[in-house]
Amino acid sequence: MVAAAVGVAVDVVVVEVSPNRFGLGWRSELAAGIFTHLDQIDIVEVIADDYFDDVKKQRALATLASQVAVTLHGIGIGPASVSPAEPARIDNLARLIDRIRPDSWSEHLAWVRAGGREIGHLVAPCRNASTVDGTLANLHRMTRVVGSAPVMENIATLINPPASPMSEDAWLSKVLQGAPSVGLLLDLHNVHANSSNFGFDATAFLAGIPLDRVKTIHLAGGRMWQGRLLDDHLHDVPPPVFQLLEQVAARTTQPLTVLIERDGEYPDFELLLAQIREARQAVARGRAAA
Amino acid sequence: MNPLVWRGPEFLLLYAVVAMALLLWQWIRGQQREADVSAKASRRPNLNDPYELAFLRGGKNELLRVATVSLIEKKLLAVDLARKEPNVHTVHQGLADSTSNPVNAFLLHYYTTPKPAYQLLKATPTAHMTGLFDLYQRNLEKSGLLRNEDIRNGRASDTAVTVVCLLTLAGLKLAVAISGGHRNVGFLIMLAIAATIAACLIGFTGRLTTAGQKSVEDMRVLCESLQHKSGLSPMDVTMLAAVFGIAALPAVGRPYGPKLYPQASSSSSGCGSSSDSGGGGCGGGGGCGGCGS
Repeated sequence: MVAAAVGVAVDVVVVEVSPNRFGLGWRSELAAGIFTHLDQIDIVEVIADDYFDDVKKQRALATLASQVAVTLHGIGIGPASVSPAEPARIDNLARLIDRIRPDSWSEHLAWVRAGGREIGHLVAPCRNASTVDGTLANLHRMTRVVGSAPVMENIATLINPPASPMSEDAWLSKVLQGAPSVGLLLDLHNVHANSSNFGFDATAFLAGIPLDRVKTIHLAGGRMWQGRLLDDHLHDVPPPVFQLLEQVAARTTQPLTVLIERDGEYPDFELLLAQIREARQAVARGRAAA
Repeated sequence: MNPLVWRGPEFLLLYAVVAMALLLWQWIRGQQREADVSAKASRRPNLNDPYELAFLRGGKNELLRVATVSLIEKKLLAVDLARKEPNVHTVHQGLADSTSNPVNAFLLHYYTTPKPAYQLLKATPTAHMTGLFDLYQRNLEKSGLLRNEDIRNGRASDTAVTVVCLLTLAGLKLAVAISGGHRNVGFLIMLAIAATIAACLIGFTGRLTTAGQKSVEDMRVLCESLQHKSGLSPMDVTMLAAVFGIAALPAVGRPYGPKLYPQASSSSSGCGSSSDSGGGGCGGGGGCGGCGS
């Protein structure tokens, strides 16, 4: 009003701060690239289990968390099981979360041991009422011990789990319905790989799950192996996965954290940055189209 | 009972206990002073800047080494390996004016005339570079990673108190002993000298605060896999050199490595504690990574 009264033209510049965050999985091999490009990386995801037994590494992780937002990603609990999750593993995770105070923490909707034997792999659960109940009991246990609810990740599988009267999207929806405080970490390459390997439509899958519960998104790449698409995290994110990201962005309104996973055969870091930029563009396109 | 009239062995034991207590007090006071300054740090440590990390770890000479290696890796500087003392030279004239990083600009300008890299470490820095080094120093002090003047002064006064107490107690005992006709005071003199040296070492050595030392150690943990990574990019090499020192660089593909700073490569542990650690023939490599700490 004052400006108008004195006849001064005022240009108002509106800077839109995106609530979405983009980053990648922390790997020590990528340390130089990550540290020197923190202007383009909003958040890093750290594998929690690598830090459980080492105080020195935990202190280093705290230093990392002082430089960039960190989310912790567990791989050893295996809560998607009719067996109770091991208390010691949940305690380890809880202690680390207490120390690091990450932005969020996540685990997998998979099982990793049975009958006291470690499988050494994230295995897709049988999709039935028993595993829904078992998973919910474990999620409740984890939430109670840690003090905050996890974000749970859908997983890739090369075999259709036996004793599975439910489809993956139905099972996932049932679990999320039973655990209202738990968020979904939607791994879009896992969706892409499962849809390729089992011949279902990824878009229909997305329509079948509660996308309003998605908090985090994983992007990764894989390769064909014995006629199946293997989610190996060793390759670039393929175009169909970016297209799925755009679809999710178009169908959601909540802030999203999008993370690129790369576990080896590291490319030039500029390529990873380009993929982060591509993810930003895909989300922006999706949101614009909504 | 007056301890000054105690027999030699008993008094020596007492003196050793008192000296240990004083040194412990001095060490704890120093830690507290650093912790207070680090807690009130007005600037977040910028661990994503390899040059700042290099300066933190080893001072101005380490910064110059890491920056030189970084520019070689980026192919902005070249090394003439045919010579016994290989010369470094700028690849393209005019690059110095186009780079925004002042350290890089200085080095690209400096090496316009080819010369051995180690000469730069011995050269008197220009006013411009001195200003730049001071800026790094101030920033790291503000971050609580390097000891600032308050910490240094505080540690000096703690040291003075310790030394005065140690020498006064020893002096009084010596006076009592000599006046009583005793001449066997050699052990007491040696103990007093040793305790005084220890007090000076605690008080005056090191540039980094405990937080600074931890930051360097944490960066080494975080960047550990870079040491084994194949196909290092210039960015990886710069961070590797900044965190671990240039001696940690893999030799494969880097024949210039050991020749660039021959004194630094051959000196493994002469780093010591000068306030300009990493200078001269000291440091430079992984062996001296913790220099100044």
